[in-house]
Amino acid sequence: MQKEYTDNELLEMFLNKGNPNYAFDLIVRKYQRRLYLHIRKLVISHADTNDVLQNTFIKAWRGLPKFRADSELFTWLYRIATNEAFTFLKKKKRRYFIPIIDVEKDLTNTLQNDSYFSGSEIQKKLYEAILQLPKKQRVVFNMRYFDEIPYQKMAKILDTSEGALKASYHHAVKKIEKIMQNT
Amino acid sequence: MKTTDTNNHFLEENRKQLSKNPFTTPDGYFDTLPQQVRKKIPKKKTNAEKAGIWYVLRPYIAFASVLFVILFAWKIALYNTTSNKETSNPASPAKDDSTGIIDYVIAEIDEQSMVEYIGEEQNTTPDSVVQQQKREATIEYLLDNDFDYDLVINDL
Repeated sequence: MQKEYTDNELLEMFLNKGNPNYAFDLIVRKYQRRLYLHIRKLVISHADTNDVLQNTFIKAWRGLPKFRADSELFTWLYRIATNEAFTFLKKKKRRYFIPIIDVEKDLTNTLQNDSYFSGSEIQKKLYEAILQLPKKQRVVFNMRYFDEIPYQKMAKILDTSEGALKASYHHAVKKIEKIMQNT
Repeated sequence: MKTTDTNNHFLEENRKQLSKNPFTTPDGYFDTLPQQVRKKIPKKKTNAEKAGIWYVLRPYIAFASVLFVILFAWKIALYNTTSNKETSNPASPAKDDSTGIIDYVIAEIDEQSMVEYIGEEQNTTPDSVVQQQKREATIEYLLDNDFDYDLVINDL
């Protein structure tokens, strides 16, 4: 079994040991599943997630030589992935000349017909409810409820204050509870 | 870890079930993803690639420049030597210097000889032509008047 390197070791290998390709390969292998799931919850379809995830890693490759170790590698990757997912959703809206609400409807349809969704009926309902939230609340809810990321880290990833994030999460939970009760 | 910042119950009560990952991927997706990403990543350029053709040609250009400088210096030195010789003996011309040859000819042949030579050239040619014409006219006249041919030839 391959050794699990720490972020610092990977960064050191990438920046100073003369083998950035190998180091980056290890970074991709270490974080691909977590980032995939984070993006997938936002863009729903597997094909779209694949595109967004690859773009995330390509951006990370370009940015890594300038990466400063004052933030965690995963926090930084998470931020790139979130931005890439939002950019993708914006482009999708522009491409089809449809309002954002219809983009969410489109995502709900994708979820209902997704062959790569193996969850229970109640899980499907939960994700449909999440898709009715505004984009920012959606990402905050996902990060807090599913990934259990502390507010402090979330604030760094989303570049928002902890107070605003708590308020966002609170609103999101209330809305989801309400939607779930009505279905 | 349970979140304590909500009073809502459904999400909390069903957290275990709801937070299971319902999303799947095609078989072997995560095994091939690093490879796919690597293919899309632009290769890091080597120093030679960064500098382009200049990097490859640089040693040759340096060598050619040095050679040119040496040849140029040698040529200058040669020219200076020749100039010095000319200065010390102006009568002998440089081999490939046409001005030098003319100067040499003018220096060697005096003006009187040159004037005589030109005068001879101008005088000789018209006289001989006139004489030849006269001789032919005489022969023609004598022959027309039934003079003895042999006699005419012998007398002329």
